[in-house]
Amino acid sequence: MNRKVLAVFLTLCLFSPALSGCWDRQEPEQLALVLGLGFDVDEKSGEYKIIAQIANPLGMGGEGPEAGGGGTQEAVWVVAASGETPLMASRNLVIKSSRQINYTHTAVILFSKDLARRGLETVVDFLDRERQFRLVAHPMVVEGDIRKALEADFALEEVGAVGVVRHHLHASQERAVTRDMILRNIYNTFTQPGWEAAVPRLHLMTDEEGKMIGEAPVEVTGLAVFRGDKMVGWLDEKETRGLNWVLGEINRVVYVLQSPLEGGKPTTVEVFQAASRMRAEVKGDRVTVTLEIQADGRLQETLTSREWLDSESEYTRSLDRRLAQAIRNDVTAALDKAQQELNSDVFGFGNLLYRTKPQEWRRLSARWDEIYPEIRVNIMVDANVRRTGIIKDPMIIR
Amino acid sequence: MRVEKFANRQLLYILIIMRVTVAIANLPLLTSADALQDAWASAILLLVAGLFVVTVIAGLGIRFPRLTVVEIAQKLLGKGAGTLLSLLILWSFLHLASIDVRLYSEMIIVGFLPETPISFITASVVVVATTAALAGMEVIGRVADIIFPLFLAMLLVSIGSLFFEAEFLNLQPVLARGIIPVLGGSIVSIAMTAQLLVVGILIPKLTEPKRALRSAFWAILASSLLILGVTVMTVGILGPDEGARTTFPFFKALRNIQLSEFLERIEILAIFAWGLGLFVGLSTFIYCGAQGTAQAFRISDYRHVLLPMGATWAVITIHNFDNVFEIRSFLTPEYMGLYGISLILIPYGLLWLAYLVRRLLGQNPASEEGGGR
Repeated sequence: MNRKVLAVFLTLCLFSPALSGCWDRQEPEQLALVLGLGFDVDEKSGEYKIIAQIANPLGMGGEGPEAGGGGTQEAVWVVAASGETPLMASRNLVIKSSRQINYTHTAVILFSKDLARRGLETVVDFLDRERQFRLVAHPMVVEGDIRKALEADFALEEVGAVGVVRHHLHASQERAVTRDMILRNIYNTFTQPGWEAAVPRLHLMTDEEGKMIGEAPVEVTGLAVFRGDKMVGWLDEKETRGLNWVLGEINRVVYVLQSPLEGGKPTTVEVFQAASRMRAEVKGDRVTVTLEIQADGRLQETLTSREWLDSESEYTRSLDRRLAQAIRNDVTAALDKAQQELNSDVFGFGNLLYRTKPQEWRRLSARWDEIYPEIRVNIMVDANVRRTGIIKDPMIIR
Repeated sequence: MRVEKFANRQLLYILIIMRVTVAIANLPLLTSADALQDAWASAILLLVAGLFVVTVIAGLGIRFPRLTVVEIAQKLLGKGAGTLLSLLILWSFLHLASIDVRLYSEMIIVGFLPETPISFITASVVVVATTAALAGMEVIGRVADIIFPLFLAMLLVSIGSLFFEAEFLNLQPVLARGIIPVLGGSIVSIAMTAQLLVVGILIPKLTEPKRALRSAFWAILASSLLILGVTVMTVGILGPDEGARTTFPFFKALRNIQLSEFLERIEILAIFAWGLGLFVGLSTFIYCGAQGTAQAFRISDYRHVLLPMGATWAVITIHNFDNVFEIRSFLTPEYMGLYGISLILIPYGLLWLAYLVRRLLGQNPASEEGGGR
C-alpha cells in the first residue's frame, strides 16, 4: 500500500515541471500577427528593409459606433525596419513592437521592384528556412511604394492583405490578367532547369506625387519576368494572357471580337473551358515547339440583329475563327516580348525539352540563351463558341 | 509465469508503422542522395530489397519457431560466438531507436518548439516507450491494434490532400540519368530495413510463429506502397530539388498546401501519425533489445535490463550526433548504407551459413529440443 502511494506521488512529481507550461508557451494576446510582408532594398547601402502589415485587434470588429467592439484605431498597423540581411531586418522590427511578431499567418509577400532587379536569392532563402513562413503565401512584385500598398484602404475589406489576396484570385480566375501562383511555385521554377519565373505584379494606383488615384488602391495585373533570381521586365495584361494560354493556366477569359456582320459591331465571347499542350521537336540546333490550344467559348453579348444562329450558319464558324485569332494574337504578343525583348524562358520551353527529351537538353542547355530566342512556335488553336447564354437570338427592335 | 503471446496481425501492424515512420520523418529516398525525381523508382527497389531482407530474417526464424535469434545463434555457433554475434543485432536495436528519436526531437525543436531543450523531448519519448515495453509485448501489440487504424487514416488523408495540389510534371524526366542515382537513393532506406531485425526476436512470441514470414511479407508490401505514395506526392508538391534540400520533406510538403481558403495546416496529422508510429516502433525496439540482452546474459526477466537500457538510449540519442551536419553525413549511402546493410548481412549471413553447413553435415538443428513441434 505504502509503495503504491509512493509511486503515485513520484509520478505526480514527474509531471510538476509541466505545470508552469513549456519553454515555448505562446499566448495569442502577446502576439502581433503579420498578415502582409514587404521586402525592399536600399539602393545605396544595400540594406534590406522589411515592411510588415500587422493585424490590430483593437481596430478590428466592424465599423461605426453601433458595431460594438471596434474602436477608433485602424484595423492594421504598418511598421518597417532595416537590417543587413532580411532576418536582421525582421529582428529590428521586434524593437518597435510591443508584442512578439509572428509570421505564421502571412498571406501576402511583396517584393519591391528594386529588390527584384537586384535578385531575390537572399530573401527567398530566408522565407524557405524560417519555420514560421508557409509557402502558400501569395508572392507579388510591387510597382510603386510597398509601404503605400500595405497601408492602402480597401473599400470592402478590413485588412489590406486579405484584399490583395482576393484581388489576385479574382484577377487570375476571371480575367487571366495575372497568374494563380503561391510562394511554393517560385522555388520550383527557380530550381528547375530551363524555366524562368514570372511573378504577379501588384500595381499601385498613384500619380507622380504618390497620391492615390482611381477607385481601387491597387490592381493585380501583369507579371514580373525573371531571369534566374533577377527581374528583367514586365508583361502587360495581353502578354500575361498569352503566357497563361501557353502554360494552360486559363480559367476564364473575355474577348471582344468584331462581329463578321454589320460593319463589325462588338461581340463579346467569354472562354469557359480551356486546355493547352506543348511538345518540342529538335533538329540539330533548331527547336520547334508545337502548342495546341483548346478553348470553349460562350457568346455573352451580341448586337448583330440579322443573323440566325444555327449549325448551318457561317456566322458561328466565323466567330470560332475570330476567337482563335484573338487567342493567337495574345500568345504571339507574349512570345515576342519574352523571346526577343527579355530573353527569358518563362514558358518553360527548356524545361519541356529537359522533361521530354533529356538527351537533347543536355546537348543544348549550355547554349540555351542563344537557342531560346530562335525557337519557332506553331500555335494551333481549336476554338469553339458553343453556347449563347440564356437567349438564342438578339432582339430586333422595330 | 504466463507466456506472452501476440497475434501475427499485430506484427504486421508494427512492421508497417515502423517502416512508414521513417518515410514520414526524413524520407531518405529523396534526401540521402541525388535520386531527385526518380525517387519513386528507389521506392520500388526498396520493396524488392525489403522482401529479400525479410526472407533472410524471418526465413531463419520460422525454422526455429520457439527460439529468438539470440538463442538460435547460441545454438548454431556455440555459446560464446553466438552471444558475441547477437550483441551486434542487439546494438542495432538501440542505435536505430536512438536515430529515430533524434530525428523526431530535431523536427519538434526545429519546427515547433525552438526553445525547448532537446533532452526534454528525447527523455519524454524514451520514458513513454520504456513504460510501454515494461508492460510487455502483448500490450505493445494491443497498442498497435489501436494506433494502426488511426495512423493509416491520418497518413492516407495527408497523402490524399497532397494529391490535389501535386504537380506531376515534377516527376519528369523519367529515369533520364540511368540507374545509378536510383540505386544511390535507395541505399540508406534499404539500410534502414535493419529495423526488421526485431522479427528475429519476436517470432517465438507470436501466436502462429510459422506464419511469421507471411505477415512480414505483407507488411513490406503495404509499407512500400505507402512510402511510394509519400515519395511521389512530396516530389509532386515541392519539386525534386526543393524536396531533396528539405530536412523533413513530407512535413514541409504538407505545410505548404492550402486546400481552400479555410482548410490548411493539415501537417498536424502527419506529426500525430509520426508521434504515434514512433511510440509503437520504439517500444518494440526497446522491448526486443531488453529481451535479447536478457537471453544473451541469462537474466531471468528482461525487465531488469529495461531501465538501464532506457537511460543508455537517451544518452546515446543526445550524444550520438553533435549537430544536424553530423546527422546529415551519417545518413548517406557511404555511412548508413554500409553500416545498416552489414548489420543485417553479417549476423544473418553467418547464421545461415552455420545452419546450412549443419544441414549438409546431416544434422537438423531445428529438430533438436526447442525446435519445431
